[in-house]
This record gives sequence, C-alpha cells and structure tokens, in this order.
Amino acid sequence: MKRKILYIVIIAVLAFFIADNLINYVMMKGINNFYGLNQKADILLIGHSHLMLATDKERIERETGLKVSKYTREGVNVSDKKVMIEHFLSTPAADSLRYVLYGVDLATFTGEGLSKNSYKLFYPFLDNEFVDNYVRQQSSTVDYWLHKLVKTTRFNDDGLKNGAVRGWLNNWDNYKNNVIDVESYRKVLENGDERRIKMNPDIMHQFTESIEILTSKGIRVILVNTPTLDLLNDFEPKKYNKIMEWFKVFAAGHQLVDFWDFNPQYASNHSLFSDRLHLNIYGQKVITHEIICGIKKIDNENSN
Amino acid sequence: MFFNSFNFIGFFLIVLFLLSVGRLVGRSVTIRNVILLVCSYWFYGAFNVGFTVILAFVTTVNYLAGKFIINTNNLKNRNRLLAFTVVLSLLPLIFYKYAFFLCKSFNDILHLELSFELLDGLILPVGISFFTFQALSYTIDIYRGKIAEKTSFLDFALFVSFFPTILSGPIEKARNLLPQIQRYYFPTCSDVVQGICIFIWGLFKKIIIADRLAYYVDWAYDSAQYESGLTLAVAAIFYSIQIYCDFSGYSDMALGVAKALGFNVTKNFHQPYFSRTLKEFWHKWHIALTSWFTEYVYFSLGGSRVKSKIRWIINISAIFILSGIWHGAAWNYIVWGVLHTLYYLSEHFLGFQNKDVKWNRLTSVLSGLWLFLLATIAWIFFRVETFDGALYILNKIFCEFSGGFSMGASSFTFATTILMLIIFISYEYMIRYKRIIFDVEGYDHTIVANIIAVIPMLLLMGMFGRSSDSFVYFQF
Repeated sequence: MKRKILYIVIIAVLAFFIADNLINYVMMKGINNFYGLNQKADILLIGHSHLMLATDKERIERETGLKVSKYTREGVNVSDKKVMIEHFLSTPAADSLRYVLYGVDLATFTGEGLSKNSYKLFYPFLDNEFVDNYVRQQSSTVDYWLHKLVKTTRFNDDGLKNGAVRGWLNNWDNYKNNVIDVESYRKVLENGDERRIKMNPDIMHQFTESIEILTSKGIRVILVNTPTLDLLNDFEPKKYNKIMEWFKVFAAGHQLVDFWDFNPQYASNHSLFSDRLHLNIYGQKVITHEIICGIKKIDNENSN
Repeated sequence: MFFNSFNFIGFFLIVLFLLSVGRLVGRSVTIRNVILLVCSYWFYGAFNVGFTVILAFVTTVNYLAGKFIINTNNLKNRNRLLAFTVVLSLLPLIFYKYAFFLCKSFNDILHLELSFELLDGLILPVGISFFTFQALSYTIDIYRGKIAEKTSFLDFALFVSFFPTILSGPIEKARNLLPQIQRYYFPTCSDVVQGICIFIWGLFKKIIIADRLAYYVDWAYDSAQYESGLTLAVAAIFYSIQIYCDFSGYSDMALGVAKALGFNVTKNFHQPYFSRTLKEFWHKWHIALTSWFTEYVYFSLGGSRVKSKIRWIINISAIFILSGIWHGAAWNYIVWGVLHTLYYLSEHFLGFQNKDVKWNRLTSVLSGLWLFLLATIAWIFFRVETFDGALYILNKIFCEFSGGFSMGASSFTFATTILMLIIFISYEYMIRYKRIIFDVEGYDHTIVANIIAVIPMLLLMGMFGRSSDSFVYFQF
C-alpha cells in the first residue's frame, strides 16, 4: 500500500507539472498576442491606463498601415515601464521597431498613487531575463520561487487572464462608456482630496534612462500626454506647468524625442472623459485620430 | 499564522520533522504530546503571546475542576464545583466578547452616560469561544460520569490547545479526542496523503470560492445604497456560499492537518445545503457546535422529554438564541437565532420533520431551494453588522429588485467567479456520490481518485486563488 501510494503521488506530481506547463503555454500564447509581443512591430505603445484607454490599436494599424504592439497595463510606474521596454526590446517583436509612444502625465514623477505591487503583472514573463531580474528584486523569495516553479500561479491576476483570453480572441477593445460627473469631482477638489504633483529625482532618472535605452537604438520616442481633466490640471497650476515644461525641454534636448501634449486642446472638453484621468470612448476616438495624424506626419518626414 | 499561509506550511513541516525525530528517540506518547503541546502554544502564541495566558488559565481551571470532581462523591459539592468551573471558564469569554455589549445595553436601557471606552478597545483572543467550550466539555463529561479515568495535565493541555482545532474548531468532545491523545499512533503514509488531500480541498473552498465571493459581497454591501435589489440578492446568495466555504474550508483544513498528524477529529460539515429541512441542516452545519449545545445545554434543559409543548419550544428557542449569542455580542446575531427558531418551529408544526414524510426528487429539490432561501435571509442578519442595516438590505431586495445588475470589479472577474462556483458544485456532487471522499475514514478505495481530484484544484488555486488574511469564524 505504502509503495502504491508513493507511485501514485509521483505520477500525480508529474501530471501536475505537465498540466502546469501546458496551461502556461496556452496562456502565454494569448498574452503575447494581446500585447503584440509575437509580431514584428513598427510602433510600440508603452504606458498605463491613460494611454490604454486613449488609444485604439486596431484603428491605428488600419489607418497607418503600421503594426502596433500595445504594451499598456494598469497601474505601472516609471520603473515598471522601463522593464516593459527592456522586455519588449529583448523579444523578436522589437527587430522592426521604429516608434515608441510613451505615456506621460502630470503624475509621472510623483511616484504615488500607482500600484506598489505592479511587479506582479510581470510574472507571466518570468522566463525573460530582464523580467526575471526585476521580479527577483521586487518580490519576496517565497513569492519569487513559487512563481518561478509553478507557472499557473503567474496568471493569478484577473487582468492577465483576461488579456490571455482576449489575445486568443484577437480582441483589443479597451474603452469606457461613461462620462465624468464633473460636479462630484469639483466637490472632491474643494475638500483638497487630490494627489499632489511631485518631481522625484530618482523617478526622473529612471525615466531618462528608459528613453535613452530606446534612442540609443535609433528608435524615435514620442512622449504622449493624453488629456487629463482641466480641473485636475488647475489644481496645482504651477507644478503642472513646471512638469509640462520639463517634458518640452527634455524633448527639445533630444533629437529622437517628441512631446505631444493633448491637454491644451482637449482638457476642457469634459464629454471626452470617463473620470479625471481617463478618457471614455469618445475621447479615445479623438485622441486615436490625433495620434494617427501625428504618426503619419512623422512617417512621411522620415520617408522623405 | 493562518492555514492558508506559507508560514503555516513551514510550521507544519517543522512539526512533522519534530514528530519524526521524537519517534526515533522512542515511540513514547509523552514525547509526542510534549512536542505537540509546545508546537500548539507556539502556533497560538504567534497571534498574540498574551492570549496563551488565557488559554493556560482555562486549561488549568478545567483540569483542576475535573480532578476534584472525579475525587468527590458528594453531589452537592460536585454541583458547586461544576457551576464554579463553568462561571470561571466563561469569565474571560464574557469579558472579552460580551462585556462591552452588556455594558452598552445596560447604559442604553437605563439611559446612563457611563463610558466604556476601555472595553471597546479590547481585542478578542482568537478561538476563545472554541477552546473554552472544548475545555468545558471535559469537565461536564466528568461530572456526568462519561469520563471516569484521570487524565494527565500534559494530555489535557494538549487536548485544549491542539493547534489544528484551536482557532475555529471543530469543538472536540473530550471523549473523542482525549483517547487519541493518550495512545501512541504515528501517521501512516496513507494518513498523510489523505490529510493533505482534505487540507487542499479545504484550501480550495477557502481561496477559490470564499475569498473570491467575498470581494463581490463586500463590494455590494459596502455600496448597498447605490446597488439594485437584484445585485444585493446575488450578494446575499453569494454570502451564503461564502460563509459555508470559508468555515467548512477552515474545518476541512483542520481535519486534514489533524489527519496528517494521525488524529481523527469531528467532521464539522456534511454538505448542509443539500438538506431538505432545517432540522437536517442543523445536523450537517457546524456539527460540533450543534452537538455541544444539544448535549450540554438542550439535554440539560430536558430536551424533548419535557411535559409541555411550551417548555420544549422554550428549550429549542434557547438553543438557537444561545447559538446566535455565541457568534457575537450584537442584536443581529440574536435576530439570526430567532429567525432560525421560527423556521424550525414552523417546520416542526407543519409536519416536515416527521419521519414518515415521503420525499421524491422534485419535493427534495424544491424543499432544498426553499431552505437555502430561508437560510440566505437569515445570513443577511449575520453579515450586516446592524439590525437596521439588515432590514435596509432586505427592503431593497424585496421592494427595489429591478434597477440593473452590477457585476462588481469587472464582468471578467464575475464570469470567472461563476465558473469557479460551477467547478466547486461539481466537486460537491462527486463527494455526495462518493466518487471522492475527503473524510477521515472510508477513503481507502478512493485514494487514487482523491489524489487525481486535487491536481486540478492546485492548478486552479494557482490561477484563481485569492489570498485573505482572515476567516469569517475567527471573529467568533
């Protein structure tokens, strides 16, 4: 009996790991397709939820004729984005990369309000060297080894599973339908309940490094400030202007860097927002159109 | 140190290692019990070292009482000793759990303005209701002559503090667990494997079902004013499943841990939602507590062998209301107990509890659904902290049912939760029809099926498990 149970347990453990790897294969196929990590991309979108909700990948591809990888994830900060860039560049998808649209906003250097556990979003890519190093630094030893050894645990986040399913279904839709309740937000501001803008030097350094990784490879980087509500931008106007000015100067000082700021034109059009930070479907249409026009312009310049 | 944490897995491996070393030193029950006692206090002390003092106090009081009662033939003295022990044992429980509620109610009734801030800030020692009742079962059993032998302090202290059951039961009766503690038994390979299977099943219920449902339930109840009656009704149904999976999940984990150590503890749940009557439900839900109240309170009051029907109604009511009070010092728990009394009595007088009632498949299903509905309504009083809050939820469910349905965080999360529920129900049916057996006995012919059944559970836990640092029943 003892020996029989031992054999059964050994077979069960083997079956577990075979199933674990099989599930990992299926999930990764979906995720890679969803983020565009399995194609030769011309354009890479890197950012968090702002850029995610502001852009329609399929429309950009259709109207520019360029392949787009939309590697945007909720809650990622500057250092996460750096890892995302390094990760992307280490995949075959980067061989044809020409443009990177990097999402920036008034809180890019604040370092607060975004998830501190966002490294968990990288678990699926633990087999990638850059991601592996990053996760090892950020997570506890137990967490790291659990996810390293048992691959199904890498997909614990519902967003990742959703991404894998949508990757398989070739569904890249990302939009919200609601329109912001401006009056409620005004009350929030009156109470002073809003995140303060900061310019953390460490984060700024990481940001600069990220951009230089791309430009050193001859890739053109466009810093995209998707609209944020005018009331929010006016909450700390001096700091807001200072950070926007910083991006302008930064872009001017780098040959391969542009800065597209959509706030002057659209921040006061409240019907485009689902909340103070994110655009709704109407906002997505408007900004996607602007981005398409911008890319076409740059692409024509490059061709000439 | 929760069962669903890596710390516990590390702790458990250390315990198994120490027991193996102890076995090499000598197959002595004393060595094994010393190891288990130290580990049990370590486990309990990990929550708060101060709590171990209360544990030691309750243990000592009941051990000494048992010793004196067993040596005393004078009935009057035995009665006095028992009464004194019961009061003394319940003192910490009353102080930590009920003092604030009693003082506040006293204040409100007499319109006094006394301050009880000190009592309000008290932290309830985890598991106090469970180990106090477990210790008392020993004293009462000795008083009633059901235990005649003297027990060593070591064995008794281990009985009260046994780490698999100390936090949330099952509340073991001395005559079940003590004999196992008193004899030497080293777990077989089969015991360990089955124990692990039961543990994984419990963990599956906890982190795949209970904790996933908790997200939706917490969200819905927290934003009850903005949600429709339909959403709140779904949340109420989810809570019925959540509390079952949370508590039975914990109980199964305790059962599995004990089994892997070579102990058979009482199975606390036997698929209660498959019951047709409330009477049946209470024979399958929190069996250890029901059994404790039945034996030590209901029978003491005369049980069903009383002369008048009124007296029997009082006895039944007392059990359900006491059960409510046991869960917590608040009116909503009392209302929960009252509701169950009413359900039980209605069922009794309508004749559904008669043995000659013939059930067919249709009436069984309909009756089961009706029972689930009644239980769900009662659980609303359990979940919502105030009586008014519960009424508000019920009013929305019954009077403002329409108004759209919200899926919570995302439709994808909701869909995966439903998928997990379907898988869970499939497992429950496999258990019901004995295709797999997650029990301490009778599993030999299903052990291969059990091992096969836990593989998908582990994979699902990896992908869908939510980790929470609390169990619903820890607060009791």
